Amino acid sequence: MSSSLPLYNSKMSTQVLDKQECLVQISDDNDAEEEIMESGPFEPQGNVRIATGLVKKSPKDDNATVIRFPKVPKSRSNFISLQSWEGFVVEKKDKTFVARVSDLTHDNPEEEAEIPLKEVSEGDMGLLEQGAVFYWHIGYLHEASGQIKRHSSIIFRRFPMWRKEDIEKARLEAQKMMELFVRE
Amino acid sequence: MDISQRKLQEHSIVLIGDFNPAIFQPLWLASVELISKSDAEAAEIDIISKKAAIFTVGEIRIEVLQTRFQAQTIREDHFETLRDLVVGIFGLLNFTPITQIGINIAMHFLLDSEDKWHEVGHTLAPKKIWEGVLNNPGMTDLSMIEDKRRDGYKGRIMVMVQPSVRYNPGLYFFINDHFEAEGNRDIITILEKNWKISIDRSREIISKLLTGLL
Repeated sequence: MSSSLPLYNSKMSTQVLDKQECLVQISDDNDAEEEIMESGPFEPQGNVRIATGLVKKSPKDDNATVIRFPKVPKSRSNFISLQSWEGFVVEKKDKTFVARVSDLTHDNPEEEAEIPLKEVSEGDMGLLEQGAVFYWHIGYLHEASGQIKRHSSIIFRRFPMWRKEDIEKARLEAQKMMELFVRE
Repeated sequence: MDISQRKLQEHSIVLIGDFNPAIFQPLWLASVELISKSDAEAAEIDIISKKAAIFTVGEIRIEVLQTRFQAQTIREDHFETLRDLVVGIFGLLNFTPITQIGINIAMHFLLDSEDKWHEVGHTLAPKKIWEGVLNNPGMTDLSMIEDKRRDGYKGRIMVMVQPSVRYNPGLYFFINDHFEAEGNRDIITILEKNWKISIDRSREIISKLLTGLL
């Protein structure tokens, strides 16, 4: 972050001026309670407080006008899929996992595959258990640098954490239906 | 030319409704297990405030304004993940008023020559009517809509064709598969039931146009 950032007041409204540069015009608005949040710590530097951190309430100050969030344009890679499957884990072994996979690209029958664990990203490893569903794509990865390479991608499906009230609601619903069946 | 020769495909899901951008944060998404902790920690945050939340987690870019939510990616291996993320978020935030959804596909193609590029423009927008009106007229944008959906849902399908800004000479197709419904539950149900159908239909539309144009 630039050290020349001006101070800002928490009671301000924001308007994104320029998405490319991510300049944010902050104007006085005494009725607005703003919480500007960004990852990283909040550091004072003399007269300038740099909003690099999670800020709930900043100190009141009248001078702040524009905060620049330097955005280094990051070209992203893109991936063109040649072949894809949907699969589920049958068994996890030491260095591989066994899965049943269905072809999503062509009309082929379901197959069994044994896939090396190193094909799975670290972030997804915790999801790899019996019954877990994943998508497997093989295709070309066009990197931001311009390089094109063949790439295999395995991504496990994520389902949101059930809330206790959702589980209880489902349990009650199931109980009602069970009572209906028993009666009949 | 066929669809397999695409240079880039982008997928986005856009929701129109009433949102609170401040709650859309990478750490919250990780806490409800919709993204990994590592993706949350590595998220690129442009802004998170009451009025706007714009950030990228993994290969998915999220932009939330008070009346609009958009999730997009240019990684085809993340299209299902994007769908699951949106379904997951609004399954948890099932009190959010959402009235419309767009399941969108865009594709860029690189053409062999500028002549082919001009040929496409002439086919889509014949120039005879412009003779004497403009000098050397060129098509910059063409949009067509099917305003009565065949599947019984309220909404429309819009197809847009433009010269590509990424590839020169190139073509850009954008399909907006737009649904309207009442209540959050209907929108999420529409997304779950129609996502694959919509993606396949959009690809078929582009495929047919390519066959007709090139």
